[in-house]
Amino acid sequence: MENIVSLNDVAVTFDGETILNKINLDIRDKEFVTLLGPSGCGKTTTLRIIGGFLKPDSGDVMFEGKRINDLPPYKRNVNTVFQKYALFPHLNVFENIAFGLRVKKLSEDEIKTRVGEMLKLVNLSGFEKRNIQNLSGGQQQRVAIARALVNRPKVLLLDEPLGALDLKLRKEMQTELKNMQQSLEITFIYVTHDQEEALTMSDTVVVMKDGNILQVGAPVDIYNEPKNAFVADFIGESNILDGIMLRDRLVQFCGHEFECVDSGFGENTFVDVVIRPEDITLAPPENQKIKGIVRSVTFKGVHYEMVVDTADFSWLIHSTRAAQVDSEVGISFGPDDIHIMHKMEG
Amino acid sequence: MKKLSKLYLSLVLLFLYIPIFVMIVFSFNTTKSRSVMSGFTLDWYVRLFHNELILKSLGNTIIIAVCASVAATVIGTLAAIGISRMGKRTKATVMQVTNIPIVNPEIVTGVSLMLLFVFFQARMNLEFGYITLIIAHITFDVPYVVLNVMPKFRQMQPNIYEAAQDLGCGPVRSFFKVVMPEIMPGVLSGFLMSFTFSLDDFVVSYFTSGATSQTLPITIYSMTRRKVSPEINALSTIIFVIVLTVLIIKNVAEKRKTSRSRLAALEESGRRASRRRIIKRVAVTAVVVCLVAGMTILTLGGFETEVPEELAVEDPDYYTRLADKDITINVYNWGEYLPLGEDDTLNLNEEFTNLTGIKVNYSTYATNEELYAKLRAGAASYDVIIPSDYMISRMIKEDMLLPLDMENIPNYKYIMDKFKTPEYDPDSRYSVPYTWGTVGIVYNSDLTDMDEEDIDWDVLWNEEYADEILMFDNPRDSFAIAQLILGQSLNTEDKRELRAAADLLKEQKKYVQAYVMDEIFDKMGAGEAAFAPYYAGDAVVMMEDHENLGFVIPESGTNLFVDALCIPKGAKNKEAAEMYMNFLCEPEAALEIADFIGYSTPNSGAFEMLDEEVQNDEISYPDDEFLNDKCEIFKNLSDDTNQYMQNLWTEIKTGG
Repeated sequence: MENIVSLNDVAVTFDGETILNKINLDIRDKEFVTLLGPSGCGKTTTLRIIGGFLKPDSGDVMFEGKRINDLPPYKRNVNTVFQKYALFPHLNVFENIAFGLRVKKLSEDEIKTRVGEMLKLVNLSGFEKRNIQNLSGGQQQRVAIARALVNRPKVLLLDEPLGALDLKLRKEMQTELKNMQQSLEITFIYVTHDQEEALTMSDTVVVMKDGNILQVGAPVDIYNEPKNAFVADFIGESNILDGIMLRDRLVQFCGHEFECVDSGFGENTFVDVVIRPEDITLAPPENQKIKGIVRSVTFKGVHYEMVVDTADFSWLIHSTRAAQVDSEVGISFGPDDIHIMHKMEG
Repeated sequence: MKKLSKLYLSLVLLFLYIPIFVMIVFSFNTTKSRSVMSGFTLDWYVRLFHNELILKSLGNTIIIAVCASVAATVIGTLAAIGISRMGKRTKATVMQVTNIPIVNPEIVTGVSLMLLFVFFQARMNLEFGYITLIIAHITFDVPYVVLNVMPKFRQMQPNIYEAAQDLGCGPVRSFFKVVMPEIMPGVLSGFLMSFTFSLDDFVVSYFTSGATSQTLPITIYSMTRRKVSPEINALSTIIFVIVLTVLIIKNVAEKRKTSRSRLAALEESGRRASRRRIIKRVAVTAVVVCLVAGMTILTLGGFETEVPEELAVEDPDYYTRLADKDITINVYNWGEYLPLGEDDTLNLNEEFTNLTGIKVNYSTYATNEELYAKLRAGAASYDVIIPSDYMISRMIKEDMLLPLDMENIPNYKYIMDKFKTPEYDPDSRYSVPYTWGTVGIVYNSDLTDMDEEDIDWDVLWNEEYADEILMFDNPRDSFAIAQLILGQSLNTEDKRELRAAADLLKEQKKYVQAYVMDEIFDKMGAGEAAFAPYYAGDAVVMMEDHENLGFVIPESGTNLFVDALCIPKGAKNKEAAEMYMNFLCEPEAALEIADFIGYSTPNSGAFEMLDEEVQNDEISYPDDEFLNDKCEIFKNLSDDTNQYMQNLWTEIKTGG
């Protein structure tokens, strides 16, 4: 597949602060890409650069192989769904959606047809004459999406579009957006800080932090093989411990040596050891290297979330079986469950 | 408790609306009285629309308000756009600076603008007039626009400007298509606010207007010198009625809207406060529109006016020699001190223009001191002014007047000899007398059976009429009365003499009902007081409306006052100004003036045309012997004496 958007060494600083640190990113056509990261990581800035609302200080922004650094937003074949929708309050639903088409001076008939199609796509047929202010958040969201998609952009940019919706509605919209993307066969670049949302919808997840891209990959790969402790922690909660890689396949942490499956870290190297809460099983304390006291047990529906304190660490454990608070338990995991990662710089 | 709160509410409402109600009632009064309703008439409304000065000022006001508010709206909106995109801290600072003109006292704004304009006047030939007024109004309007528009940016959906660009609009088009509709309510209310502030501004306009651009508030103020004319009642009534109508319409519409949707009602209540303001602004705008419409209808012949005969002049050729020079002269006169076509009088300015081709810019003031201040500021250049005696001597002393070329004023020959070479202008080089009068005592024959001959100044000290005596509310006129009793000169600078006069006035205080100026008309007319001193010309007018009033000039003597035409230094068209003065000395013109004002004329030609009855009237035209022997004209006192007299006056009025 072709790359539709590429960022080459794109850097942005603002007031002496680095917002984007020479990032490189290739986005393939018809892909659902999610930029994921905590606030301030540069994901929205990246989106604004693609949309044309911000010029990078250096580096190239490529669109279908052409450099578009100097192309203003209104000349780019890209449309945006803004965080707070940015609908035009003085226009009704129909006119909001028709806005881009009117700018292009399409015939009244064509505008009617295309807006009609879009309303159908976002399940708002019959809402043409409605006032924007009288719509619910979810409905406004749909209008915003329709308003962008009606222009048939090659790339749709979405800036945390579901952030203002309640959980149930958000889940529904996630599915709908994914379906839309697949049926329309266009590229979606989606910005969110919600890792679950990212994993659910995306073909590719781009994890960002402090203006850097940490990892790019399919959701499964990112989840299972996080490149470092930050990614691991951000993509689902994790227990992250300081450890020393004694040699290939042997790591030391919590005062004990454990067998693991990783290699290639050299000998006696400081590393991060990541163990996912759901990979830990509770066992009777007698035979275990690590023992601790159960501090809290919270019911989470499918599983219980428990915090177990050992001498130097507080473990997060997910299990379908609940332990007794204040009881002593042993912590057990297999060599497969231990993920070794390079220490992050800084 | 509930009753009490209801009572309180009605008291508040009464307090707010009674003045307006009274004003409306008296706008239909057949006489000028403000206390006695003597019949119903629409005359004042008709006159209002025939009062050239009011209409002209209204026109000026509207032109200036429109220009200033449009400009301020554009500037303010652009400023708001800029400010809204600034960083937080810069924004706060800039807003603070922008708001200063709002909290700054108007007088400071006015004076500082005037100083600035005077500075540029000297260097860049900037004339005080429309331009300075519009600039000044823009200055105080802009902050209101910014203040109205800024919140709209804050309330605006973030990113809609970007969204429009995202959908294919260029930056400018995006602004007009999506940002403008959002901030429009703010822009509009900013515009209306500016417009109404410009419309009723007095202080700043006062300092920045020139000879050519008097606004309505200034005109109205200068009219109050003698008495608030019922025309003003009529004007205010029209304004009030229109405001009321707009309010009612708006409220009814709002009520309908709110009953339609309760949700909307909730939203409404938050915005109502600012909306009220907007309504008021809208209303005032509507008033102006209606006034203009009414004006047009009336001038287009809604009312028939009798066109008076043309004025006959002695030597028409004299007046044509400047005809092709396209000259405009600036005349600065007392309010209501020249007939301009009101009440079927001749419009003397118009007559003059017809005759000479010289245009007249006419504006008005209320006091000698105001005239003096305006000239001193150097803000405007006038060609003809009409100060009173003592002010003329002061201006001569301070070298503020130009000597006249009497060859250019042949009609000076009509000035009676007794008014030539007066003390205030010993060589008659600077002034041509315009009107004159004396001070006497108004009495109410219902409250006293004294014979006229027996009434002298000491009646104002008569215990029998305690609390039925009114007294002048200004030091010079009050001291003059005491000085007349004490046999002092009215121009004494001797502090012992002044102290003695003050003591006499202090003694009088216990008999005095009130110290008043033009309220004397109403109080006397309503029979509230038996005696009051006043100016002869005004008293004659008063007596026409009230049969029970009489007027005496005390035999012991009185103050004689003269207002005279002068040309101030800096006049640009001296020759034309002298021609104007000569024109006003045409016997027929002088007669019109005397008729209109009610004061006595110093013009022998006019005097001869008066009815014999008037010629022999002792009030308007006392005999020469009396004028020469018993009357004294005010001269200018030294600053020191003025201050001393002022201090004594304060002592009299505040002391036990």
